[in-house]
Amino acid sequence: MPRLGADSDDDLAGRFRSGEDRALRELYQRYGAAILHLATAKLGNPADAQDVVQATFVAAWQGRAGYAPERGSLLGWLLGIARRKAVDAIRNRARGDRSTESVRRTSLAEPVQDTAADQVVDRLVVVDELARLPADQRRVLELAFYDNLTHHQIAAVTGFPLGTVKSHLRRGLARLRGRWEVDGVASGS
Amino acid sequence: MSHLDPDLLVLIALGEQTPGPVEADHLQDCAACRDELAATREVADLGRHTEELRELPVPSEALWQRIAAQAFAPGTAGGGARVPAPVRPPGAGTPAGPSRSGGPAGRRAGRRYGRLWLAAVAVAALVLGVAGTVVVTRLATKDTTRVIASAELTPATAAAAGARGRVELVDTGQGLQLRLSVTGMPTPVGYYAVWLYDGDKNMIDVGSLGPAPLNVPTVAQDLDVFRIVDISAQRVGQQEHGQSMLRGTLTQ
Repeated sequence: MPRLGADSDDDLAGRFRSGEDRALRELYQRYGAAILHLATAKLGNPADAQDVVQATFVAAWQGRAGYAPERGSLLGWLLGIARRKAVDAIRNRARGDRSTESVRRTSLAEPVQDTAADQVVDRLVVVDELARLPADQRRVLELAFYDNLTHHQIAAVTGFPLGTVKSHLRRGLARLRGRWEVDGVASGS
Repeated sequence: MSHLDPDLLVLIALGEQTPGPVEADHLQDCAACRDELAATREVADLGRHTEELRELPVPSEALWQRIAAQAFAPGTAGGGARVPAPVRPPGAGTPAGPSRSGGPAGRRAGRRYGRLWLAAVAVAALVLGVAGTVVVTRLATKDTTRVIASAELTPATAAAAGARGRVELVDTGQGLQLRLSVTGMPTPVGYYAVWLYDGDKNMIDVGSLGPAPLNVPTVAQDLDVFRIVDISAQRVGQQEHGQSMLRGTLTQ
């Protein structure tokens, strides 16, 4: 997601933790799409997914004092809450509600397996970090990831020297990895 | 041999090169390089699957309203921690009462009051000098920055069919600003400009679309008149309003 007009995460985190209403709004604008994507992947139907998004942001607001920037990013923290809320929603659905509507809705689209949903979390974290990389590093990685170009082809397309392309690839991947290790599923967030 | 060359390891992880006999032997023996390669491969694989995640659909305004209603409900654990109300200057009179807060007249009165207060802050800053300015600026940015109107921006032409945006009119305590966030816009031939429009003959150029907030000129600060926010595609050198791409109407 583009970050037009966005403050740095640090600034938003500070205002959020101090209870500024507008910070929750900004958090929703910045990460609502990612949370909705995860919830949809986990729950399978849009109505349940929206409920999970709502529960996630309300819980984040109520538990804002518990967010520790040194342990991970705001997005990683929100994704952790969303995963737990999604698990709650799946349990509730399985436990009681056997109404026709619920059964019908559930059968429309089966929730993806947990491992697949975990991968969704990891990808959301990686794409968020990708968007934060310096523009040249990001461009080089996007050409490698999405267009499947070799480093020679990337050098030809961008006009960067080969050595620069290789170092952008190496440093960019290292940044993505560092963020993934902090905020990804394996971190236990 | 020493560990794998980091650049080579990256190219192997990306699948661009295969390890030669020497590298393969080393990987067999060296757990550190094996782990490094496995982790880099996994990150590269995650990265390859992120293309469709870059432009996720923005959740609805209705969902935000549900969140806000629950999170900011008075008497709940989440409520109570509100944005502090603006500090009232001495001698500015009684603020608008409840009976005046509803209709357009009430809103106008509120804005007049707001300007009076801003003027008071400006005067105070002049009187207090440099040190005073610092304090007032901090007060203004911490306590009085607030959104006074907002709009969802929707495509005004087929060329922007996949684009969406949102704009907030923000009172910074030192003037009004437009803060925009836009997704899915096509790469412009020239650049994108932001306008405030009265719906009739007057369009005011507020600046070019980018990450920074845009200052709203005083002549365009009357919300009852300049309610439409328009983002246009402009050719380089084009003075007049170009092709409308996104539009929305500010509401309070």
